[in-house]
Amino acid sequence: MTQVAAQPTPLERFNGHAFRVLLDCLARPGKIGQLPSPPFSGAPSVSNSKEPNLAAVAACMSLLDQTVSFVQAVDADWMAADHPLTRWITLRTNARAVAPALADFALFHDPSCLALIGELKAGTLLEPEHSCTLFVCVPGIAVDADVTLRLTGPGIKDVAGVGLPGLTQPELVALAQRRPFPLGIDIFVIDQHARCLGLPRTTQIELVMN
Amino acid sequence: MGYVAVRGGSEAVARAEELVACLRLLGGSTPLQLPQIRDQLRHAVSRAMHEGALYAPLLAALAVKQAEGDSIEAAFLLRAYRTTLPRVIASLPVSGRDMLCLRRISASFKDIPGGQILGPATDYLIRLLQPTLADEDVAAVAQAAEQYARLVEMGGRRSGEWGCFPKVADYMRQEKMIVDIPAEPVSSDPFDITREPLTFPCPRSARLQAMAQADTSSLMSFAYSSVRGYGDAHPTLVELRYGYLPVQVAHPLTGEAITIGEIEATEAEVASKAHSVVNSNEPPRFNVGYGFAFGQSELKVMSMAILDSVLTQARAGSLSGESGPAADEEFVLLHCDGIEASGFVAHYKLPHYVTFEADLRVLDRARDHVAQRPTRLGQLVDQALEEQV
Amino acid sequence: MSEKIDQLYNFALLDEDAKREIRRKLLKAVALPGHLVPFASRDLPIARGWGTGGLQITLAIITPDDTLKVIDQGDDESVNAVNLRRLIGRTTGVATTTDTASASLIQTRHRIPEEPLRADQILVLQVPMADPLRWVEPNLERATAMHSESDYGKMWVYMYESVVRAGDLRIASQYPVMVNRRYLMDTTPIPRWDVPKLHMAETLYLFGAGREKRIYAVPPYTLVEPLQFEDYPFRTEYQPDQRCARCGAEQVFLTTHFVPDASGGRWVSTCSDAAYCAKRLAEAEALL
Repeated sequence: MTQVAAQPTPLERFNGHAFRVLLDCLARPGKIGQLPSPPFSGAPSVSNSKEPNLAAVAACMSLLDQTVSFVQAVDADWMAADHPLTRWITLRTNARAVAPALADFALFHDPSCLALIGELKAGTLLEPEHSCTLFVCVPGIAVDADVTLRLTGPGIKDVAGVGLPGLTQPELVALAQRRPFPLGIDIFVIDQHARCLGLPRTTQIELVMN
Repeated sequence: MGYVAVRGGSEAVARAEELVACLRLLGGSTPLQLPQIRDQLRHAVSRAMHEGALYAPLLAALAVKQAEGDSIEAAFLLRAYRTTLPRVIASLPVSGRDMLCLRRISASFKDIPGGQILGPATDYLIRLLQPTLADEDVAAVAQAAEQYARLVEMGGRRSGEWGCFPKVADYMRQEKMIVDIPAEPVSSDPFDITREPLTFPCPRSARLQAMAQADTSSLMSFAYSSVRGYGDAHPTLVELRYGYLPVQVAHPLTGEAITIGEIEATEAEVASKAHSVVNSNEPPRFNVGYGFAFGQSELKVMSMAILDSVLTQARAGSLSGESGPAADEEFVLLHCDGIEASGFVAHYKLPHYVTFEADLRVLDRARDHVAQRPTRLGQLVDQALEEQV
Repeated sequence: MSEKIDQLYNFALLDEDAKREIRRKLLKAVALPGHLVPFASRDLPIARGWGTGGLQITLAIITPDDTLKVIDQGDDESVNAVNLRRLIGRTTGVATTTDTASASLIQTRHRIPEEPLRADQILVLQVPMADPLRWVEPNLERATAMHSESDYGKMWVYMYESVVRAGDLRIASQYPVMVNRRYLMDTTPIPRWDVPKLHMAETLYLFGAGREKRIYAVPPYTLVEPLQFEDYPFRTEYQPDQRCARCGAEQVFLTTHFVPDASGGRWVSTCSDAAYCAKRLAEAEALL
């Protein structure tokens, strides 16, 4: 068969593969997906002491363009529109940096930012899809042991267990707080090994007390 | 190898494509050249451009040729090509005031500032076939050029100069006869129905865009229904103009307006008899509908302008009496696109034997149901009779 | 032609922005099972109503590593399936297959394959009419409001009337279902036989309506319940004595067609899933 199209560039290839991982994770909450290696390096630091989780930044950026907006947070606080990393993302995606209540996408660089989750938009009854998609960076996602969350809902056969070591009790409580369906925030939790957990608004999250 | 399906869909599709390609030339006549189509089938080219939503006369001529003159197919070819093009920049707003008019008429006033210019109009032609066209030769081209030069000179002598004219609608706005241009939330980018889904209620700009790329005949039917009796439209043509419009963009660095070319276009405004109250302090005014299309496309822009005015009034709740289907924004905008409508109507040519089989099973059950009904009724009657006994 | 001119188009035809929009909307569709998500729906080189919605989803999610299967009426060789496969093949170069089990991505019109689909597969359905409420409320503005409030009373009345008149819901294919007990959803014209395959399934189902400009999804392990009355339960087309005249399968969806033979010809029922039927025949032959 005659080919009439070019093969994808490395960035397009990443975006395509990353999307399939995100889609799979969101369709199957509790399943841990492995994101591909980020197609770039050299992103500015988040703060003096913190480098960004490049897998999470790249996964979020794979969905950004001039028609959508985003917001970032670190150390339980929103990042300014002129933060070097915000400008870096804007320059590469054309997405607008906006106030939290307007953002189509949010990128939390550490779990302490989960305290801010209530400020993100959750959609309306007429347009529940106009809600924020949130990427949260965490130190690790435990695959077998140390279950801290018990998940039920669409995409889960009976019940799924997952561990988020290093998250404080208030952080886990903020993560587990869901709004009345069909409103809600859809969340991707991404760890330092580029592992990804999807928590759509349909997932009921129960904290497991140790 | 075991069972081999006797179907051969791939083969059939490939051969069908080849057959279509052959048929066009099978008559043995000289293949058409694109400039011939562009120049001599002006209206077919215009229609492909406005319904295909791409201003590209030579490409449109190619589409007309490839589609063998089928207007919807030609527009479809252009549309499918346009979708692959990047949006480089949005032009600055183009104003009809800047149009170099070949033609401008108004039905609202006998005389208008700048004068009525009939121009190249087919309206008053006696529709008799011209046998002389049948054996036209190249000499006719030179004759036409001479004749054209003479006509332009005569026209120039009469009106002093030809070029830009004030708009009748501007004068009517000044005199507070018609409403001002409706204010819409100002956004830096125009609404684009090819980038954002059309959901209802939709902004007027989305409505105008949908109609600008709509099928001419569909718009005409909807507009006709509204003026004929299934509606409340009483349009008066404020102005129709046809000519050349300069298109400008802002220089990406300096912001300076730069003319990048001109397009051939037609635009129309119609005033509706229904009164519109702008705000309570002012007396009522006439509503205005607007129509625009590439090329000389007068039927399209008039239909569009009528529908725009009907839909505006329907939204404002200022229609009186029978509103009719043409006043239903969803009904008009979701059924006026030729590419979408033709595709869906044609899709019934696709195999549907799975759904038809399912329909047959339901039909079987309905038959059983009907067959059983007398029996059930009979049982009830029997039962009632027994009880009486 | 030089290679450069040959490769006139982007990988998978759509530009990256168009893909991104569809990807964003797909994520929301998965998070809102059964809810109709509007999308811009680009013009394509195939006609509206011929699978442009399913095609746009496929083109937005396909990667060079995928193995693609395209069916129409359950058949890989149906003319429209051939045409779509040709377009996707020419613009991506991905491997194609007719074997359901070997495909990672399946685009379909009117059928769900008979072989159970797995977790590592995605089924993309082409949708002609997206809104199940169109029978009772063709106006989208009002229908959207009804969905937002789960206000499906009109639909129940419609069902009741049709049961009284015809003894059954008159909707044969595109049977309406409740998804996750919240949204009423159109199942696209799949026969009723395929509807239970959507319920608590292993695989992810994505739905694209190009002309109607809507995307929706049913994630795996999601409740998908056909509308039914206690005394008029949902029934599929299955008949106890049915059997494929070719491979002998009984628990399948059959279609009827004319087979010419020496005595003129006859009408027979065979599997609509042609690849499944062929596979069963090959297996049976291998045993001989």
